[in-house]
Amino acid sequence: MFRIIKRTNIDFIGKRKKAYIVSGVLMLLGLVCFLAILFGQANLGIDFAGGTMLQGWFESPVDIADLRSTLTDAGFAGAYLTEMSGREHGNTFLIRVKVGSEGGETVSEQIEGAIKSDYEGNKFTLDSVHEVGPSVGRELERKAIWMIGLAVCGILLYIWIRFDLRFGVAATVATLHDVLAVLGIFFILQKEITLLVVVALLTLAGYSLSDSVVVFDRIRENLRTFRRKGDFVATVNGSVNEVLGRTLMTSLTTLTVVFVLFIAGGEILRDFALALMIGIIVGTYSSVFVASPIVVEWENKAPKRFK
Amino acid sequence: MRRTESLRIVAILVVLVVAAIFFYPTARLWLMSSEQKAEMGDRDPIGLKELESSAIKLGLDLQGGMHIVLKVDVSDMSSADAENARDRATEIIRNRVDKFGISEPQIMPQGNDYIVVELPGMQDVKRAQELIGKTAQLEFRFLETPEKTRQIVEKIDKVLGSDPLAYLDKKSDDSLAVSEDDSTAEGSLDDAVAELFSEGDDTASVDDSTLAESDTGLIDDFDEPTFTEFSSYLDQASPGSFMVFVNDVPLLKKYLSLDKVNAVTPHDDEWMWGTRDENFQGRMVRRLYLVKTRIEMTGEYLTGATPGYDQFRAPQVNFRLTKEGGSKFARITGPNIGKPLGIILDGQVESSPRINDRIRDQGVITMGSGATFDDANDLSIVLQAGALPAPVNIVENNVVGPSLGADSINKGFTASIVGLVIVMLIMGIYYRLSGIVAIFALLFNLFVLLSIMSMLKATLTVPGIAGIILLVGISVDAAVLIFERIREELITGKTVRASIDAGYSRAAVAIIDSNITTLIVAAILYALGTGPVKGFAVTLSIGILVSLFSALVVTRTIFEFRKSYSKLSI
Repeated sequence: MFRIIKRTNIDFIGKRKKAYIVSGVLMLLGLVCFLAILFGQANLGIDFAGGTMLQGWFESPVDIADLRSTLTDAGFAGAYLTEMSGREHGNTFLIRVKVGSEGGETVSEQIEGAIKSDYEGNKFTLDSVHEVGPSVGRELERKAIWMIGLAVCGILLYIWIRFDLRFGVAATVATLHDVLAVLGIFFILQKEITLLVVVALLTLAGYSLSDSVVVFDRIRENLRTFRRKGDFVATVNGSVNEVLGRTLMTSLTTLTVVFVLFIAGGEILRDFALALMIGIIVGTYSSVFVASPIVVEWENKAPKRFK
Repeated sequence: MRRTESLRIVAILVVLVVAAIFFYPTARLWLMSSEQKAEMGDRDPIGLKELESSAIKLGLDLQGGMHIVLKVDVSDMSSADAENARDRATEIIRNRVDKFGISEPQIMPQGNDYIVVELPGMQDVKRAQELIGKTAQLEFRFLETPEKTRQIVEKIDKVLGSDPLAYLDKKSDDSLAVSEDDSTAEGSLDDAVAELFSEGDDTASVDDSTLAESDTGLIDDFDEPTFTEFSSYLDQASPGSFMVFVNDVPLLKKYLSLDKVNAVTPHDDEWMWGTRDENFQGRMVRRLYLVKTRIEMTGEYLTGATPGYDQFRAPQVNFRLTKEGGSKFARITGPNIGKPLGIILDGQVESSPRINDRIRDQGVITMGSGATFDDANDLSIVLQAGALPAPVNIVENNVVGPSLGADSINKGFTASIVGLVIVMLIMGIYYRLSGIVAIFALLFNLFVLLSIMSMLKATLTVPGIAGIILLVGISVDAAVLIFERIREELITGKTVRASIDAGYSRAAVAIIDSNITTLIVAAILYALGTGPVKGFAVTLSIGILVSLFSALVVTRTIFEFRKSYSKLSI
């Protein structure tokens, strides 16, 4: 038998106070980001904020500063502009402006026209265009908030039915913690919050929950056996230790897969993979340091006989 | 062999056979090169179509195409009328798209007033807009007489006068301020003109830099601090229409929306722009018409429209009218031979041909020199399909080029294979022979997932590929849970047989619980998500179910055979 993790007996629960500080900071960051979203200050992708994104390539090399001045002259001074590497064609650029068009001459036509007239000898081919009007963006934002809200309620309900309310609350808090932490880290990294990132957050919610559930499952099992001993904290801590091998092994393999996706999956999936990567790390941490300690704290405040 | 075991083996074999049957078309299609596909398309087009329809569909983000969301303007309708309008608009747009000949378009209503249009392979945004976004309200109206038009232009010159203040305002204001209000200027002319010059977001041609660099004669006038008269922007083209340089169009639109100008334009007349720009002596111009507000006839009597050419090889649309429409048209055209008749589509003048003869049930829409045959073709399509019950606006538009789609497929495929190989290595090294069982389960999962997607005719999207890659993680997680549990049992000194039994029965609870929570999330994503997100939710949910089956049934069966070993490689 080849084991990286031998039988451990680490006092995770005893270290919970320190973990609360880390978690508190992470959640605070997430809350700041959430408030920023509510007040329209966050770096929302065009799917939510409305706007136009174009990707296209030139036949021969183009100076990015020149291209920027072309866009500025066309009235798009704040355009986000980046050269993309690893594409089929060299000289591929991504242009993003936070101006959406609803009816009339579209923003993408204006940009394409400006580029074509400024670079007459250098053929410009569009690979993709994505235009979102502001009203659609707002609707999507509302939908995304609904999705997150419903997911949280669904999770709480399921764990409540399968375990009991305190486990349900603990798992939900741990899940929210992970989602907020990734949101907060994305905020610091100045990453754009796109629809795909929201999908990643929800996937992560499912993943992080699985982690907590596996630990809870073991706690429940051990509580049946060790009830007579009566040491709740030791039982919880023992359970966390017992499943530690599984927790790390699963995180390692999933992380590997997502890391490959991050490296080789292409631009579209890069931020999606990044959100999952951060999420898996935070999720592993939270199943050990957030979910179980909440159950312990609750038991300390309001002891309950587990059947 | 016990009864449950044989049942399990039968179940696995049935799943494998059914999966193979459903996956076959997808596998065949994916293994074909593009030349082979083209060759089959020539030899057996129906066979190819069948093959394509029974294989996994690729989403627009993978195969390239256009995704458009339209909002039907139902602001002044009751909710029942609005729903009706949305459904009729969907039907009419479907007709137009079908006639245009795009393979497998998807046109579906969404919410109360949205229509989603998906056009695989379509790249030309402008053309799609013309085809889908046009209300296609056709009207025939007479133009105002040249004499009266001239008088009105003189009056406009007089009320606008020359206003040097406005020019000074322009000088001082070189910022690109964005102005919300662009149609009804209720303030003084000074304000209106100042606002006009500061408008930078949609009228790129009137900002300072363009003015300074441009060398068109008309703009040179701005270099002198005098105000240019309205009429100096107009160039008489033919009786009833003027030509305006494209750069001046936004400016003139502003003038024409001023209250003062409206006040001197008679109530039975209306200024209207031409549909498209034309090349006039090397410069792009757009026509401006003074049209009677009285509608002589609408497009409701049209029975057919086909594109064609006139004797000068200029594109045109030939149309036929119903009997009733024909006699009506004859009554209109008969007494007005020699006069220009305005052909108006969606508030823009397509052309204003001179009536040469009494027209009865067949007519021609000439399209001016700016039109191409494609324009004529598209116009005939929208005329045939009929007018939309309400105007539509494109509110979202997502175009993916075919090369970008192919790039996503390649990258997704590479990432999947690399990820898979690494995970296989980890599992093989860490869990030895049991790891190989896990790898087998993993491959089983991927195979069954793809075949179920073929069966459900599900669409594979870029996030869907991410879902497949996540499935690798999910399957491995199930295996890890079981193996770790079996190891624990072995360490406590149990026999291989007892350890396997205990490992499976105890890990099963955790596996089911953890998968169901992910399934809840996937269900919510499916219910509320659209397009790519739905694609992700579909692959994820199918993946979870398949992984549950393989973890609890497939690997279990293999482990049953290993129960009799004295030592377990795990």
